[in-house]
Amino acid sequence: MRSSGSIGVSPVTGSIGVPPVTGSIGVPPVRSCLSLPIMAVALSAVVLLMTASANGQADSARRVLQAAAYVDAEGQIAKGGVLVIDGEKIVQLGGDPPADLPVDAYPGAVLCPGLIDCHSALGALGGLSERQQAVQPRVNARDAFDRYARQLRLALAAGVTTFALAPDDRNLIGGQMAICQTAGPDGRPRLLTNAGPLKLSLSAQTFRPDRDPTSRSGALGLLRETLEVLGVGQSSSFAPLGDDPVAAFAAGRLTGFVTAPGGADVLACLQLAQDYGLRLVPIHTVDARRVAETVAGRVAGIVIGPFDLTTGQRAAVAAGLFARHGTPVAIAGGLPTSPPDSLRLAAAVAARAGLAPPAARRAITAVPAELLGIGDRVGELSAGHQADVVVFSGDPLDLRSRVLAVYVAGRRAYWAQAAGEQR
Amino acid sequence: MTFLPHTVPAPRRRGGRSRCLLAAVLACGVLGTPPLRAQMRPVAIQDATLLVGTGQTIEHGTVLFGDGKITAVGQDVKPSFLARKIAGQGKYVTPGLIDAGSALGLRFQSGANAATAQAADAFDRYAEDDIRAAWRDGVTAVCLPARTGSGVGGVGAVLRLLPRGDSADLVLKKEVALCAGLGLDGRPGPLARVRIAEDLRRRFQLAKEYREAWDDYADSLKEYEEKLAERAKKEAAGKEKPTTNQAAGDKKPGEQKSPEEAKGDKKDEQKDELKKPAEPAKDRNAEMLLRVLDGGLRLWVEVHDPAEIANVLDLAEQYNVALIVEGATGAHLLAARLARMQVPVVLSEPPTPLAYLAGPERYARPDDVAILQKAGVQVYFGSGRLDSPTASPQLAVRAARAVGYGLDANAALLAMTGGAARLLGVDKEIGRLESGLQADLVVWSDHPLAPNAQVERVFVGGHEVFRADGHEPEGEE
Repeated sequence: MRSSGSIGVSPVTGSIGVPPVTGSIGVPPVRSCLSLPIMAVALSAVVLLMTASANGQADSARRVLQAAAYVDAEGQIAKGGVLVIDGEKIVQLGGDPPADLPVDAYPGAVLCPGLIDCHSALGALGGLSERQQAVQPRVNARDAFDRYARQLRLALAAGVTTFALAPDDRNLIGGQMAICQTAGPDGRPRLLTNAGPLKLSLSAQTFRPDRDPTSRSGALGLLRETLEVLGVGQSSSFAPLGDDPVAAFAAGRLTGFVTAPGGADVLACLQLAQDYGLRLVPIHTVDARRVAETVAGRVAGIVIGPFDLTTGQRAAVAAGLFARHGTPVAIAGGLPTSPPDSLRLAAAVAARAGLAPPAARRAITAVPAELLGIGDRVGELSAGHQADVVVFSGDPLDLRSRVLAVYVAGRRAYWAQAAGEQR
Repeated sequence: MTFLPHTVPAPRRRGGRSRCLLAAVLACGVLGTPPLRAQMRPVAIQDATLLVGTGQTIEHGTVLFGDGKITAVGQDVKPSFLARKIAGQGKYVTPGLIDAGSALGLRFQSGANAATAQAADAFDRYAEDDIRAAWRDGVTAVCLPARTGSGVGGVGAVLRLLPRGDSADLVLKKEVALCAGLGLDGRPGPLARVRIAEDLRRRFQLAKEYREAWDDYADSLKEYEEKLAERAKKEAAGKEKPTTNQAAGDKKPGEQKSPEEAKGDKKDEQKDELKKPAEPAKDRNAEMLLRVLDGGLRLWVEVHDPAEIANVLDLAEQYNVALIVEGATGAHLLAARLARMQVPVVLSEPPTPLAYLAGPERYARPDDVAILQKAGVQVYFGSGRLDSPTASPQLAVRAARAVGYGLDANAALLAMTGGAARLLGVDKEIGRLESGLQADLVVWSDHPLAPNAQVERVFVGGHEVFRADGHEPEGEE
């Protein structure tokens, strides 16, 4: 997957060797009754600060995260959770860290890539779809991004670092998805890129009596027509501004996330992809039993979910079935209309229903990153990737584990207080 | 997972035979249960980690069961050579989980004033998909409160999820509690809440008045009968020979003559003054409520709003009623009071969405279980009202999540096994791995709260009813 839309962010400058505690500007307000220990910590922090500057070796943007284990690129839990961060990036994984760097130590913890919800409406201001026309090439979800929404903070606390704002399922071509983060280098939520995949839908919600399409066959007809108009380079009646996402999609340069709940919808996707050379990712697919074998090797991946404790077994086994046939599976969290820990909850439910644990861990980290086209940037703990790290008290897939801290772009944006004080 | 067979044998010339085969395949596949026999070969699950259901763990233990009951549990249990032996290395065995607040197989909800309705009657024992989904999650018994909107819905029951052929002892306990719902019809505003709370209170008040009416009736009936007897005596005495002071001697001790009675003595001759008191109308609903007021039956209230929970607690205090609260959004806000009043809470709501919601959901928080438990409230897990018919209870996932949010792991396990059995009054039958209890148990691939834990086998009443590896559950050959 190629990187789409690079947003050059320079490392934070001007801050000197900040020890872990003082660097926590982004944490929730501490209650006054805790002021005494805070004072003590602050004092020790000052001492640390002084020693650090006295040594004169502190690299302003570098620090070490130390835990017992980490989730590796395969989704396995590997021993040796040592991570060196420089600015926004991970520069070293495993091995011996340079001796003179500040260390955030989490004994016994497991480092996990920041969780990624690849289909969400987190912090969306207003609706995420237009209602008049079924084809919306101009809609970009970034315009609905509300970086001040309180939801973002709650999602961050649950370990969600990246999410794709997606137009909803009510339009055939809903618009372009925007990829955002619950925190950034300055501690605030940010837009990572507005060049996310194109969102399409073949779900029943798309068919409306008051506009085209009114039926499934009508939807596919309209889609073909749109693709053919754009595919042969004719100017469309929509007169898009700049790089038209629909044209990019028609030319096979941009991935399309297609809501395809049923097996027949998935088959329609495959046919379209074959006829027009499209890059398609079926999403919200429940009907795995029939198409799991067929889609293997023909799609970049598939997005399952969102689902939670009330989901039927049919949806829960879907993830495992697709994975067994070799299709990369991502799990959508459906935030914010789902609980904050919905990604882990869904992964845990899918794991119990037969998705192998490494695949379940990748389904909420590396795979969604790849499908969104940002796999070279986030979703994995490896040198060169952005330092988005969730520190769990154990296996992220184990619902008994807690989120101890969350780093986004190298900066600790959240950490849990003592047990029972998480809010 | 066992799926129904898709492939139907191709039709052949010899139709009779293939039809037989088809019937056999269907019988095995659709029913999913082996033919049941009266005599069962004993089964031993050996060398497994036993989570007994009391908080105790036995490493490398053996469970032996036969004829529907557990016969031995421990490390040094030696099964007879006849027993079917199941290797349990690395596996965990728990008692069948108990879904403490379910709607499994409930096809309708009762009306708003149906205290005599029985949830057990509403259970659809042929809802095999539902039952299979429950087995897949390790659930072998469910408490079915009589679900209703607002008002009194009936009597809840505890059922064991037995295979279809064996439904005689399906109902483990017919009367767990009298069930009511508060504010479940849509989203009531504050004024509606006043009415809803008042409605439930009024029912109890009416039940009290009903009893008073009957007490009055009993008193006046007694009075009437006494008078009648007195008169008969007098008449008899008048016929033979008139005597005095007879009536007083015949009176039972402790009774006194009222002035009216004394008066009546004098003018006894006016016959038509003596009237038989009218019997009040029978009201079975009120009688059920009286059983609650007398402490013979608990009150189970499904409620999803902390303000409503407070109302219910008020009511329970006012009438001195033993209460169980199910739901229960925002119960943690009343943790101290629930603990003081020793009201158990069955948590049966799906996790609350992250988005801000205007309703009472905004009070919910993921760590509410832990807050309740730390305050000393007994907490249990239920699956509540599931929308999808094939949705599964996911009790173990719920419990694991609660542990992640601070609930004690042992308490979480207890809440699904021995603790729930005690709450529901069925702990002499199920909920623990103990000799003499029903052989309802689950073999897990890992600790039930672990991420990858899968239910491998389920036994109910000693019958293997579910296997995860695709094999048909093994009969007792």
